[in-house]
Amino acid sequence: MRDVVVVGKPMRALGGFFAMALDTLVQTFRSPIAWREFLVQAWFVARVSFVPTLVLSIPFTVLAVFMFNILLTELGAADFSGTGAALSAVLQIGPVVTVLVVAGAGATAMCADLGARTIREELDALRVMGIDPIQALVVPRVLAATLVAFLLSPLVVLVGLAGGFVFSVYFQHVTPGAFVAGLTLITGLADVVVCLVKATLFGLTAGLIACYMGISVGGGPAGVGNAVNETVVFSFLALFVINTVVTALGFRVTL
Amino acid sequence: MAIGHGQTRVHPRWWTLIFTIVVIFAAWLVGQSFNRSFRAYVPVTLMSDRTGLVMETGAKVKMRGVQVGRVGQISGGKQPASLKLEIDPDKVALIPANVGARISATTAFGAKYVELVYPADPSTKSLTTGVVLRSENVTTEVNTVFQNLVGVIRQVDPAELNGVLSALAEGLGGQGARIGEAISGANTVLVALNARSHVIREDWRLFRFQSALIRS
Amino acid sequence: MNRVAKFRPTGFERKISQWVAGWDRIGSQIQFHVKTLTSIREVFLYYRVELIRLVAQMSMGVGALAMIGGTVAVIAILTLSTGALIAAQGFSQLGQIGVEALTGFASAYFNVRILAPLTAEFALAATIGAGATAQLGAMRINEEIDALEVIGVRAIAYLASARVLAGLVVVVPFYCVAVVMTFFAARFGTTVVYGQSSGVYDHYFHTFLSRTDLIWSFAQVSIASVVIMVIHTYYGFTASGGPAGVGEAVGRATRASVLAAVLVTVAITLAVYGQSGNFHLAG
Repeated sequence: MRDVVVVGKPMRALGGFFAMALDTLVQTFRSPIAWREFLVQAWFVARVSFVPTLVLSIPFTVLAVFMFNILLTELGAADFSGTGAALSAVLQIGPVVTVLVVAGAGATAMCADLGARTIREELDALRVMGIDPIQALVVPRVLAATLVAFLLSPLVVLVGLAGGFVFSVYFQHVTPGAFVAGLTLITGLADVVVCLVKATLFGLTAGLIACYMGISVGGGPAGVGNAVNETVVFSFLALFVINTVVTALGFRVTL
Repeated sequence: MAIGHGQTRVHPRWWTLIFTIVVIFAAWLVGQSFNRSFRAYVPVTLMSDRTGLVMETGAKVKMRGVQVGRVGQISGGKQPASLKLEIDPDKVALIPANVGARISATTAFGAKYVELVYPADPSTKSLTTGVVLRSENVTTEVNTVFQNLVGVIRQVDPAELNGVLSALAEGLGGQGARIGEAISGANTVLVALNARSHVIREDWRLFRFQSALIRS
Repeated sequence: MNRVAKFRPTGFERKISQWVAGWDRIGSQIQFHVKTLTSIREVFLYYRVELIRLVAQMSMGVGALAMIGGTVAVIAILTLSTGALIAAQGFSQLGQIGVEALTGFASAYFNVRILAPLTAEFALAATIGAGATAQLGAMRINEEIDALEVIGVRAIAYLASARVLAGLVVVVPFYCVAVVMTFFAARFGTTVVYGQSSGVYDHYFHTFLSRTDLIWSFAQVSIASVVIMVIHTYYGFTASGGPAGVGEAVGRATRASVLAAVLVTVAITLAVYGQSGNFHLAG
């Protein structure tokens, strides 16, 4: 019987998550739409994510470009350095950095905010007043996270490519013209679309996980801390797995 | 700022300064290590007519397939070009002082490296600082081949050449046996003519003499 | 009568004083970090049991984390997915130029040098780092840390340094798991899912797998784990503002630690692999 309980808890949590996700989906299209909350949340997530994104994308891309350049220089094909940079930046670094920043910064803040409200019983008060907390609080947050992730990902790619260009040209003596010419050799519109799709999915998933963990928190302030910790972990897990799946699918579809 | 025991007599402001200095120093260290300034090497000079395309600093110097150093500085632009090679100190003892050198490429992309050729009669002295080596040649590069090819193509219009060749091919198609017979027949005739070549020469001389007489 | 002068700072003066306050805050953070690292000696002397308890807690996790298998499971899943990326992307793109046989080489090269260290560092920051911040933050807002200091426990050593040391102890087996998982995922994806012959894959994989690269990546991850834990414990220790403040501290700590870990990794990679990269592929 204890085994059923041990397995039952995560199953219940998973079920609760999907139930909330479905609720959110349904409530998105029901008026009144919480525009003000959406804008406030979007601005908040953008504000906390902007600088970390810029600062994080440069060392990432530099690392990838450095690795590629060693390989290409060994073959004598250093002119294709731009190709390697574009490939890694658009397909992997853009989505991954977006994951890290949105999950690490935005999702934790959302979870902490909602968690604090839950243990203060504010959500119950909203329900008593007839306001559905999912419609008023969760939907705008999820949409805000999706939008900001969608907008952040191209920023990461651009900044990363610029950083990769500077590093390749000035530290590894790659011809600048060859770098720029090689950018679009393998990476095309389909890859950019895949990158944007990934970023949107990431934002959506991170927002949903954060909100679910926030509204299902229990056990006082320590519980909020735990919930935030679990948000980060589960967001990372879900996002990395989604990244792999969408990458593999993307290749099947675009090749 | 409830750190409690964490506070020392040093004001936090100084800590940030110390931290900034440490970070700058670490960045400098990384840069120096990146440029390999911490490796010891034995400098050797290589003179060559050409360095070859895609010969870059950091290219390998190999002997018998084992890397013994790398190319340091390349100064070119005027004949002859000179490359500064940095040989590993632990391998320099195994390289004789009169070793030969050649600039070759490993892959089709043409990235060059320096190959040290073990001489047939190795000198007993090994390579030391400042020895000057001469390079034998540079591998024929795909670029040179293309350059020559482009020159030929400029002279001959490939489309026209293609047309002429296809017309020839069409005309001569299926005539292989007859052409063969014609050529063997011509060969027999010419062999016979060759045997009588001095008679033909006499006849021509007399014919010229006659026509000169008739004109005057 | 005392007359208190009215000090109304102009916008410029306010900006300057904000910057100075920020500079001071960084200074006190550095001070805390140095104190954390120098208190490691005290952990060995007085708080060994706490160290062992933390090692156990960090590996298997608490609460929901324990149910999914703890930190080990999280690291395994994350590194499995990044290893699978090598199979998916590497195989497809190398196949475009006809050299898909080199996927084994791509695994040995990219997994060891970038993917495994970075993914392990993110997993560490997310699980034990965020966990440390959450725990310490909850203790701080419940005034438990002040209570500890009152009863004479060295708070920084007992809480922060012990976690830093536990993280360092725990990172070596975790990273082994991470590396093995990336290799396994890449191999599984290439040979079973995409159908390449395992002999081809193994041949290229073993040819290009370098022992020194592996050791350097272990060093990278160890140093990065110290940096991550040091940052996370600081943010947990200085959390304030109730439960929402704890969540905010976790967010800020995760951002800062991931950034610091990536910078440390890049610095070590550039310094160690230098211009030529210790790498021989052609010739």
